[in-house]
Amino acid sequence: MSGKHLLEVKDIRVVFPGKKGEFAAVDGVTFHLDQGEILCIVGESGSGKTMTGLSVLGLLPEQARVAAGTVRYQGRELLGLSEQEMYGIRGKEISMIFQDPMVSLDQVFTVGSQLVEAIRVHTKMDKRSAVELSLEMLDKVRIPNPERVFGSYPFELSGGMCQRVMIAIALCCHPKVLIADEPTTALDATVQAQILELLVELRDATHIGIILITHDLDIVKGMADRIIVMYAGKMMEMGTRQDVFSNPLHPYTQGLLKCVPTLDMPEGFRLYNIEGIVPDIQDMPEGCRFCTRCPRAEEECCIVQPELREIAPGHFVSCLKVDEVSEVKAGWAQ
Amino acid sequence: MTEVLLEVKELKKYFPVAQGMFYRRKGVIRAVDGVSFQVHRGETLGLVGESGCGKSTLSRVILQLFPRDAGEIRYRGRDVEELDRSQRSKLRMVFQNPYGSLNPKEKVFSAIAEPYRIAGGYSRQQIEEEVLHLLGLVGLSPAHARRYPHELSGGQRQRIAIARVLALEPEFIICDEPVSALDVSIQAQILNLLKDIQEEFGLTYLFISHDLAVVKYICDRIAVMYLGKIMEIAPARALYAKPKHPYTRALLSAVPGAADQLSFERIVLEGDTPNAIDPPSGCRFRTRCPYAEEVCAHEEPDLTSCGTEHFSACHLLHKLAG
Amino acid sequence: MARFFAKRTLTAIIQVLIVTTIVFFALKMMPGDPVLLMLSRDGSSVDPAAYEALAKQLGLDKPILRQYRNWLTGLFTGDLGMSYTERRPVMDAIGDRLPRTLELAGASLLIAVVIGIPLGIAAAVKRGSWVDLLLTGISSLGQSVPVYVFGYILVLIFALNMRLLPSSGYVPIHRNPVEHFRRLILPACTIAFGFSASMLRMTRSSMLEALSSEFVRPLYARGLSKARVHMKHMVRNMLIPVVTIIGLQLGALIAGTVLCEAVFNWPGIATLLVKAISNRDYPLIQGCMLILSIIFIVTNMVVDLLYGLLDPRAR
Repeated sequence: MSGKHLLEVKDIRVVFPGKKGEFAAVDGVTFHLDQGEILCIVGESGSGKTMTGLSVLGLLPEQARVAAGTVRYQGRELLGLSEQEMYGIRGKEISMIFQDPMVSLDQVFTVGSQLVEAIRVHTKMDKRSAVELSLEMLDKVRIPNPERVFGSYPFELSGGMCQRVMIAIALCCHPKVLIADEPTTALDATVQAQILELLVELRDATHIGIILITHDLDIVKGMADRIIVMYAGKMMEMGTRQDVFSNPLHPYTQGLLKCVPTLDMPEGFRLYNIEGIVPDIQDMPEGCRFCTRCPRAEEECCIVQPELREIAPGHFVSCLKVDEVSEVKAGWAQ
Repeated sequence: MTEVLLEVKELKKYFPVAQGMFYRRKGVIRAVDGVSFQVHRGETLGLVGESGCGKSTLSRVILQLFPRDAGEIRYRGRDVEELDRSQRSKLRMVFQNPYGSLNPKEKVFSAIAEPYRIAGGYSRQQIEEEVLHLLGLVGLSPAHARRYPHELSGGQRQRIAIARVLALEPEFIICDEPVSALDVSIQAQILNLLKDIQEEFGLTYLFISHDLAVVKYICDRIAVMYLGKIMEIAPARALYAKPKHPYTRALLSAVPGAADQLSFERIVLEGDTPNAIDPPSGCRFRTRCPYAEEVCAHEEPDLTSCGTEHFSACHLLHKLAG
Repeated sequence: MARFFAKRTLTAIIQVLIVTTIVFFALKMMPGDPVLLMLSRDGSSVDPAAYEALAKQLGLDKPILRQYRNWLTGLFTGDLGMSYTERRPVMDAIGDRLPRTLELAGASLLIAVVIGIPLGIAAAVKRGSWVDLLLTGISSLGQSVPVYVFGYILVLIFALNMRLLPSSGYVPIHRNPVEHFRRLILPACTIAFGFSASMLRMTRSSMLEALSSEFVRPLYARGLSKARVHMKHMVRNMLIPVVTIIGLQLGALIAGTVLCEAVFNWPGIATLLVKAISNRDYPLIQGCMLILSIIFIVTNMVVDLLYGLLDPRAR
């Protein structure tokens, strides 16, 4: 990975204090993001996908800390920056939207005043131009009747509208990166489709790079340029959408693709069971974190931690058995 | 066609809403507004719709957790209100949040044993045998019987809830979003478990979900609800291959990544679902329907046949062929 | 907002009417005859003619419902009757005393707010630190020490030992403003101590709640500084519950003034009421109760309106 990427995250490790000393909720996550790209981080709960997103913006919970790694934005290291310096990054260079839009806005201030505030902390704009820009942003995120919404309180709006407002606030200072953490999980299917469509539209118009964090493989399939599959705080696989969906190499990715019902699934197909449950995050196996549930795990897997290896250009897998695994046809999709 | 187990006819459930200080501006949420369907023995009927469409209310009215305002609910031909206790125990429900349906201070064993204790007539040893048997059925070990709900994962709790429902040989189980709160790998385990026990015990399911893919996987027939009404009801294959109602098409269009697989024109809906307090006149979907015509505003469409066991409530059925 | 205000005013008027009715009839049920009490302080026998004359003069010979009606009509014309013991219109007696009580209550409220809320915010923001421990420690002390104990402690320290302030009494402001305020300090601080302690705790806990709410991280994600998030967003959210609780506690504040007025010999409405009750001075008791309940209801109304201003959801 050269230094030309918009955002480069390398070997990031997020630790929490636990019963037996610190444990890593995110371990060795490495990726980059380019302009105009949608990178999906997919994983189940506890996979560390949200913590990865938060660590980029320095918004981790109080107890957590980044124990290792680097986060470079346009070549500039973000991890060592002071809180003051981060104020200038958040919302201006890198923005974030969250899972439940209904509770992500301050309920006692109007949408307009929150937008104007967000604009004015980053620019020297006078109040009137900030109001104009706010209305323009509301229009850009396809909110009908921006003037009315400008004066509304968040609780007067629906979930879909709130998420549009969140996006307007996130994008009002023209950031180059947007981190979207499960932006549609709390929304209805038809509204979800609207929001996802909007994100793609905005990406096409502004060439913003988007990190889309989700548990929903359908969304990944519909949106992603590149994909990171995470499990228990570790990257299992990373590659283009083509790589991951058509040629998944990690046993976890393969299992995941076969255990999610999809619309184009043949009749009579039985969903694959990934046996067992995710191990306790404070008590992870020494070797590969997936070894307790992996159908291919051998003794070696439980002792040796697999490295993230580049199997084909841009296609990374973290599995000791990857050469054997790649022979196996992946799922029913073939 | 096999025997009809559950029949719902013109069912209505309204919730009064009082607003203002002196409770003046009264309105009514028409959560379920004239719903009719049948569930046949051994089949799985799916009920899909977005939040607020009334699917959960419907299930609770069927189980008499809420009184109905109008209509009939017949189980094996008898009104559910007239069922005796043993018949009533044949109708069970699995909830979305298994943690909420388990008593946190009660061990797994007594949670599963409870139906037997309530029914009475079981010796202590019999109950213990039954509980261990049920735990085995849902893929848990006897050791789990001594745990508390908070010591279990979400998937394990849902297994406990299913084990409890399986006590006393049920016939008809309403599954209300049973996998929505679970991670995908666990979701598959539970879906497969539900399929397996259905086969083993000849169970009949009413399966409520917002996830079209999950419903497709597990259901034989599917009813699509919108604002308290059934918009379309059809065998699963027909519904996905040839959806007739614009709302069904919109739902299928909304599945991310499905755009290139649709057999019909993609519909991306504008706006949000209208309020169920004041549903639109005529067809409820007309305010968001891209095909709506004048007739849709004046007349409420009935469910009309448009294929084998396929019914759709739309005035424009003939125009939207394909 | 106008609608909300109109609705709230209407309810307040109804509340006042209900309270006065209850007060009126409850008094009539109290044992003790005011006429007897007025005619013979020592319990000696009373001339029936004099009794009748006085009863007639006071209007106590009429049926109770008629008395009630007379009192109500008086109320609407601003006439609350004559005080038996003060021998002057109830309105005048209250008019003299009420401002003093309001001044005392207002001064203590001001002190309590100025001390309690900022310290509460500080304790919440520095949660777990020694600042927090110290403040919450002192505040639990403040909540548990009764007004009369704390009042005498202050008197001991500042009046008797250090001789900085007078121990009690009252000087009208127009006569000597400096002495007036010197005599206000100790009683006001006495009430404010307990009140600011509970305000500190309320502020701290609702500030902590605001700080743990879901929208805090999104606020930081917009690039807002910590100071802005705390002082603008958190404080505004925190004030909503705090204002409500302050409103609910105003009753306790007025109750606190009763004891405090006694300790510091502050001639307010509370001492007047106590005197009126022991003398069965019906018109004066009714008048005092009426005024106190109006104050109570009006402050609650103001709090509600303030709440509406702070929290758009309550409108």
